[in-house]
Amino acid sequence: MKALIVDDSRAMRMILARTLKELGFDTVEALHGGDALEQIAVCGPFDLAIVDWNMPEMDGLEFVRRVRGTHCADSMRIVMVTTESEAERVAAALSAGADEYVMKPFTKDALSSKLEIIGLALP
Amino acid sequence: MSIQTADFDYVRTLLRERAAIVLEPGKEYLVEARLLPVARSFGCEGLGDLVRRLRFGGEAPLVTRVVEAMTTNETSWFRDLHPFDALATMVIPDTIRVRAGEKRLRMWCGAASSGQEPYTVLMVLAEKFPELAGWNIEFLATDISSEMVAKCNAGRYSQLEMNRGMPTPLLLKYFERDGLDWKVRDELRKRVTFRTMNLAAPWPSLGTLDVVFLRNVMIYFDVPTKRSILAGIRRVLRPGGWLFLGSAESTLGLDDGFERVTEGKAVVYRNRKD
Amino acid sequence: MRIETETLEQVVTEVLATMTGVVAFPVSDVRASTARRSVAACIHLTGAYTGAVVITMPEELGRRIAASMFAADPGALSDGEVMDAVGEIANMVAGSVRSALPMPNTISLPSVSEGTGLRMDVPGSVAVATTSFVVDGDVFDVVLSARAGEV
Ligand SMILES: C[S@@+](CC[C@H](N)C(=O)[O-])C[C@H]1O[C@@H](n2cnc3c(N)ncnc32)[C@H](O)[C@@H]1O
Repeated sequence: MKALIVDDSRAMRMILARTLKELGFDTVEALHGGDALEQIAVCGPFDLAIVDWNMPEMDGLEFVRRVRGTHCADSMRIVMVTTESEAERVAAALSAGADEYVMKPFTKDALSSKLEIIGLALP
Repeated sequence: MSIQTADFDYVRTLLRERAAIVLEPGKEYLVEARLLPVARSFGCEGLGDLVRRLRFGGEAPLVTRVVEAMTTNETSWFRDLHPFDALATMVIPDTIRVRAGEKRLRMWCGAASSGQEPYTVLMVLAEKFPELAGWNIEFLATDISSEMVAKCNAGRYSQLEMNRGMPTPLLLKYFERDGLDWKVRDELRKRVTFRTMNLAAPWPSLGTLDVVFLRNVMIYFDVPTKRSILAGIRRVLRPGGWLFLGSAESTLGLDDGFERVTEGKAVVYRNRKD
Repeated sequence: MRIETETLEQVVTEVLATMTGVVAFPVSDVRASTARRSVAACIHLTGAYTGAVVITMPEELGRRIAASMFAADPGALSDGEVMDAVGEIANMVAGSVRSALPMPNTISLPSVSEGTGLRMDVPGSVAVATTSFVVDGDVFDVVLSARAGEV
């Protein structure tokens, strides 16, 4: 399975890439929402996108809206992984079309439990 | 600082006597890691000093703290996922059929830890069974640790705890932000009663139950204790009532009064009718 | 606005334990030495609460923390990667701490610098909680500040 990691922080991308590889995904990285849309156009479709909220150029929420609004990757599961943790924010992400939400900091267990919830568990 | 063999043996015996928990030799590191903070908070010099105080005098609060510190409280929301599917697709619908007359549902969770399991059960009921609204539902959740029972009652969980297995739509529906933490809403909390209870001591009266959750606790007990707990469950579980165990636990070879039922990817045990 | 030092301690130890597996103990009587080459990361908060979170640590400790964060060999990491790691820790600390502060507020992207005798000041603000932590004998500081007049 293929996962797209969308985060402006190189540190975070490294952590997510390692965690997702351990969970059995092949990963591609993008630096912000716009970059991620290009990656989808070039190498898509992905099974999963892990998306940060606060990023320069295009933020995570806008990215989710674009993906869901243009049907460019309808089957792609989107999990937001961010420090934003206000209930209103979380709700906004879900109504924009995110499938799950993980609040930073997170453990590998937490991420895999969320992937399992949305039916992305690998055997 | 490592623990003396005699002191380790003393702690092992204490745990077995008080909570039926079996600690294998080789788990010295576990005793050290968990009891050093207790020793410090009771003003003991070290583990040797702590065990000395347990041996001579053994004040009740100290003994309790030692036993509680040695329990493993690992848990998460929707742990293993599948048992909660089976609860929704088979166990609750069956119970609703059987209890349709009196409209009464009685459940017990015997190793509640910090409360994720009982609150998960309540969320499944609230989400999937609106028809239970007019029912009389009694849900008792117990644990040997008073610290855990206090945590259940508080219903406060850190972000890290919420991340582990909690579906986000349910987080938004049943919890509210409280500073750094999340707090379970009263509508859910008032549907369960939390108490301390030692599975390895004589049980208080539990009445007749429809569903029992005893997950990931019998793994710590020896065979005779497991047998007597399963026999105890059969006495309080109505014929045809359901028992959930942890994924590494089974009634097999311990008690043939239970029928093993597979539902989807989950295994549930049923009290035989005869 | 008062924030308990304990809240800050809890957040920092949790972030480090989860993301890096590093165990940090809060200490009250020592501060990070800036005589050594250090890394400092700053996140600004703006909104109902305006202030900043600043983390300062010896470069060598930052490198060790980054190494466990990335499961890499400390010597194999570039200076940039070490700075990224410290910046990300500051980001997560600020992101967690902000929910204990007046809302709404937003956090900035991290700014990170590195050098000897390093001192990061946020002009016009005062420290509201200062905490220090030990990791294997090395000390680092985390300071939460607020715009003067806010406290
Ligand atoms: C690993 S947790 C399981 C929690 C939950 N049932 C689950 O599956 O996630 C085990 C719990 O059993 C409790 N426990 C251990 N010995 C016990 C005893 N003798 N009587 C009652 N509870 C006990 C511990 O305090 C701990 O909270």
